[in-house]
Amino acid sequence: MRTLRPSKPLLAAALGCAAALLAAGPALADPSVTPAATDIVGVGSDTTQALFNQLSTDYTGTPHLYSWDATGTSPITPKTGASSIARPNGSSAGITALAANTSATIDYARSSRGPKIGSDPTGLSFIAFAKDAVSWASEKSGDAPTNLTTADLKSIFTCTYTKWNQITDISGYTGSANTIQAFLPQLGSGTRSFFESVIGITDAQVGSCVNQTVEENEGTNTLLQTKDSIVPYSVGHYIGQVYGGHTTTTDAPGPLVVQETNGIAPIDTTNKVISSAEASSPYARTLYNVVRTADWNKGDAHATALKAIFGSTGYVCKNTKAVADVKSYGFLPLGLCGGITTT
Amino acid sequence: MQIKRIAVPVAALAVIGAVAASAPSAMATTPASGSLVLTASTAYVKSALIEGIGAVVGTPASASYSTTGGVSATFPVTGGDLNLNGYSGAAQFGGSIVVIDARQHRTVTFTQLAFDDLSGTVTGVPQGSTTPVALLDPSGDLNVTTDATTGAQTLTASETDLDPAAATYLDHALCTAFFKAGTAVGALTLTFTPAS
Repeated sequence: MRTLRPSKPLLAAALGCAAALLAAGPALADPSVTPAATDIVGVGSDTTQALFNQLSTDYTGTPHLYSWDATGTSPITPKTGASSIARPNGSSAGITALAANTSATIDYARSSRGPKIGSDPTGLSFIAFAKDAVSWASEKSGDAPTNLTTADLKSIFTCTYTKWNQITDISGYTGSANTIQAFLPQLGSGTRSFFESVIGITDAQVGSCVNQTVEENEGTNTLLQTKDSIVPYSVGHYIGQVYGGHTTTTDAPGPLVVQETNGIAPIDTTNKVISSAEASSPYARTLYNVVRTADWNKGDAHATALKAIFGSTGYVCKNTKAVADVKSYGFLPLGLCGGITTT
Repeated sequence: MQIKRIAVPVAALAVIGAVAASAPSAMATTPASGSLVLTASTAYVKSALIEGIGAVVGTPASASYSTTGGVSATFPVTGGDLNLNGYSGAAQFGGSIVVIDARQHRTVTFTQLAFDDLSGTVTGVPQGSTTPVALLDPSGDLNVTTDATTGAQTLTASETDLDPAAATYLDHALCTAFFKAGTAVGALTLTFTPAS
């Protein structure tokens, strides 16, 4: 969230200091003021909301950058003069809202999944900016092993495996007879969409034993705080929480730890980053911001503002503080930051 | 005047290019294919030639020049697992780039040209070394497309910038002060069809 901005003319002489203080400030949820109609306002992914709260705080350009969280009171009025909309919870919900509205309401959608050509609305540009990975999390001393194969995960989330002792392909592991408690984020979550894709299932194939109500990357949810829970988890977001210290009362790992998939340790604990093996595995994913292609190419002040923030030479890709923010929140800066795929 | 300065080195470099060329590796299945097209703008070429600096490519790469488009060099894909849509993997290219300083009578030859999608840079290994040097960074408008019929992936960059590592390496190796990090060199089009 952006801190309340004082009147610029009154504090023109002190702007340098003010900007420095703002940049050092903590990121908070949702804008504390209603953004101006010309500001660049986004909604969508839970995975990157904390990062974009920070980037919104740190960005000192005009028009300003704002980011609405995935959860909170609903409906919301994203900016001055905007339509009131149901708060989009997750990447797909954000993308849908972006396509259904104009820049009078929303300018961009945060997305932790890539474009789905053929099913996503047309006329959108997915702008890549960082790498993340998705693994799974469980209680540190719970019944789950510390490593699962893709086949195990598929069996768990289709409810073919319902007890830990059905897992027989992990060397040295003998599972208990306790019932596995599998969780997925809500429909519309980019993390869910990516996780299902990488383990080879669709929404329709998710088993009835799976609880599909939890908010992603929040081990604070008491539903998850059992020794038999298992839930997909953003590795980058986890690193941001654990090593970057970016937590809130709800946005924290709680007792959960991110575990290995296919024997790959997801975190380089020495450098406190996503491990290189994980980053080159099928469980690695690209993070995007999505804009309307027509807005991007329009050649007006709004397009200039979008490119100043999301373009390959813009704030998110090239600003030193912004790149440091991306790292601090656990993600890997992308060499081809600003690369665009259109739908 | 500039043409005279590079005439002799260019003639010699045809041999270097031929020596540096490497044949695509044999594969049992349909190998990866495609090309990397690097363009140096007329403005950049002119600024280099004024300083007595030029470049040629070695086979199997090819190059052409137009007064409006500058120099365009095409390097064939020889392998790799590049996934442009997933921003992962890498591609390797045949051919070489020879950078010439006609005044100092020095050259630097880069072979084993490659593109790494995570780092997002074109790299090359200088002759006599085994360590790749980052050469060019795609910039400007970056677009990734996929041909649904052929599976060919294409990256276009409206600008390529000289990587800081390349600027440092070239200035040191050629004893010049011409190369500046971040200088806009030209543009890039990379087309890659995965092996099947």
